Amino acid sequence: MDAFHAILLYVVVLIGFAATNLILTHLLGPKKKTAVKQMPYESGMDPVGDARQPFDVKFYLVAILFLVFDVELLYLYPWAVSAYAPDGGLPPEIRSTVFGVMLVFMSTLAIAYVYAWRKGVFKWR
Amino acid sequence: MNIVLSAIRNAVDLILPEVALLATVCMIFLAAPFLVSERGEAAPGLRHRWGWLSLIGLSVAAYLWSISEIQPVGLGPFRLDGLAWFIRGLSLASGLILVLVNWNQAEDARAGETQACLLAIIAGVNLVAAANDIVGLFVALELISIPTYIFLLMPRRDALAQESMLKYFMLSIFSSATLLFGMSYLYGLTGTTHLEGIYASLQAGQSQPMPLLVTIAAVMMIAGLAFRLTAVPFHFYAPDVFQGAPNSVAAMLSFIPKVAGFVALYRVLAVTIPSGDWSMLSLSTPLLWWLAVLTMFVGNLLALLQNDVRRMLAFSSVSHAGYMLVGFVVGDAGTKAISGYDALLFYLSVYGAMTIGTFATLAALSTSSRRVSAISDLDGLSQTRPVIAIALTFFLLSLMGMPFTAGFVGKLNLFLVAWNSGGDAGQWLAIWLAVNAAIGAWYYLRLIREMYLSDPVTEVGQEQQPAVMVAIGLCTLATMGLFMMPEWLWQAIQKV
Repeated sequence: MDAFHAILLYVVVLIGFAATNLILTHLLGPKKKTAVKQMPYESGMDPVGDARQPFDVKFYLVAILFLVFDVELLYLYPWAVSAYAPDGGLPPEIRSTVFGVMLVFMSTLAIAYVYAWRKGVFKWR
Repeated sequence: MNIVLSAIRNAVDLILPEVALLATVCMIFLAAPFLVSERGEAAPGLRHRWGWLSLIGLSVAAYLWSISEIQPVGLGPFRLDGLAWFIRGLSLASGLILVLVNWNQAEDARAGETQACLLAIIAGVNLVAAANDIVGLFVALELISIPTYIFLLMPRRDALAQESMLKYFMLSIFSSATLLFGMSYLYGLTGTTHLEGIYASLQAGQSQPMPLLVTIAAVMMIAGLAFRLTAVPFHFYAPDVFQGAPNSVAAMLSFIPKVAGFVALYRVLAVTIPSGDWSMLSLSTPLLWWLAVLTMFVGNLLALLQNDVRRMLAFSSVSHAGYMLVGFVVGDAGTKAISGYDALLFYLSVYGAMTIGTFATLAALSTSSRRVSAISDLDGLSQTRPVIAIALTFFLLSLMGMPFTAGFVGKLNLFLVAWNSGGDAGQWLAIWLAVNAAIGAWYYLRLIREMYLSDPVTEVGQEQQPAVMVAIGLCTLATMGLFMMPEWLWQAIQKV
């Protein structure tokens, strides 16, 4: 049970920290109520009105590129954690082969990155 | 632990042609943006370089294929059995011709990406045939779909092309989801994603009554793959997409997804059990029988009503999917010499030559500013472009199934295997096939009549496109050669 006391303490500190901060900002922060500041915040979009308003396609490009590398990380994690684990992990004989496979995987994504860069995806224009 | 190393090495050995293709794809994607300025300007004639590079990549893959040997099916992620060997050869050959058709379709700045997408699609077909696992099978099918979306929009970006791309994208995703749904049930039933494991596990359950889940899995997977085959009722996208797509993409779409679809259908349905209630094939045969008959009728009857060449050819492609489904329904039965699958593979190869040839002639007639679209655009083609008119006539006669073309041999085989498969169902199928071949003749002959008996109305493209002409020549040669010497192809099919 002793192990859980720490977690309980952690939870209390966590909630306390969040609540204290919220209360303090509410009490101490300067308040200038303008119309724009009173609006509910929704990722920079106008929250009231037609939901089908167009927005810049550049957002999609960045989101897709982010996803590519997000998923790459997803694949790298299990390998990185398990391959060189002190107890067991991958047998030493095949470590270099698996490392090579991971390099091939990353290099294909690097090609995609170079392609996107040369096509000007990162230029916000 | 050397077992693991040798397993990785074996798996790579089995897919060497695809490795070569995908390496070429990476090369093109890496080099292409450096050769095109940021404003989208490229040196004139850049498309020729991409074309040659793609041909070299395909040739290396074809060489690696030619030295590969059929191997017993193992436990690895890939297999190289007779079917995989045959389909790989077929898709590489069609890839060579499609690269030629695609040569001038896109402007210089975008040609590299279109050729790279085409090569990725060819690699995807090969991997569908080589997959030994339903997860691998699905990923390979996506390797065909995703480059297809880009390929649809790359050469031209007008409203029609955008419509066709979006339609294909939405419906393709939907069909993939349906297929995955069926596959998940198959996995839930058998506890493995490995194809041989699935067969073994279904065989082990023979003695008990079959659960309903097997039916659901089979029906969902057929629905998902019927989209690729353009089988009724999943054919609706075909006319719109073919109408808006560039000619080289339409040529690819009329053939490549059918190859992948039939192979995938065979892999997931045609389990190794010869009989018994648990065979998913015996379960789905009645469904496929109806699909075949409906696909033939809907394709042919709606093609009669079209006034756009590409829409008409799209419905023609639907009806040909129906003919090929006849071979699939007959399955292992058939005449003494050939089974339904053999007839299907033969027809698939022949169909590839004639349909790619047909779209190649349209590509040769279209210019960058104006494409051949209405049937009346072909009026009097025998006077304006006589050589192309003869080639197109030849391909249409082959699609119709006239003697002296390979299409005749293909249809005859399908008819014979269906007639001799035993039972009324097979004979009815043969009769419907013959009736549809007769209906189909009407709209193909209409095109030929326009070309030879009408006077030219609109101007067709006159510019010389050597690459497309080579593609047309190769398709003509294949369509003619497979009538003269069908045994050449039969020998390859016997290996399956």
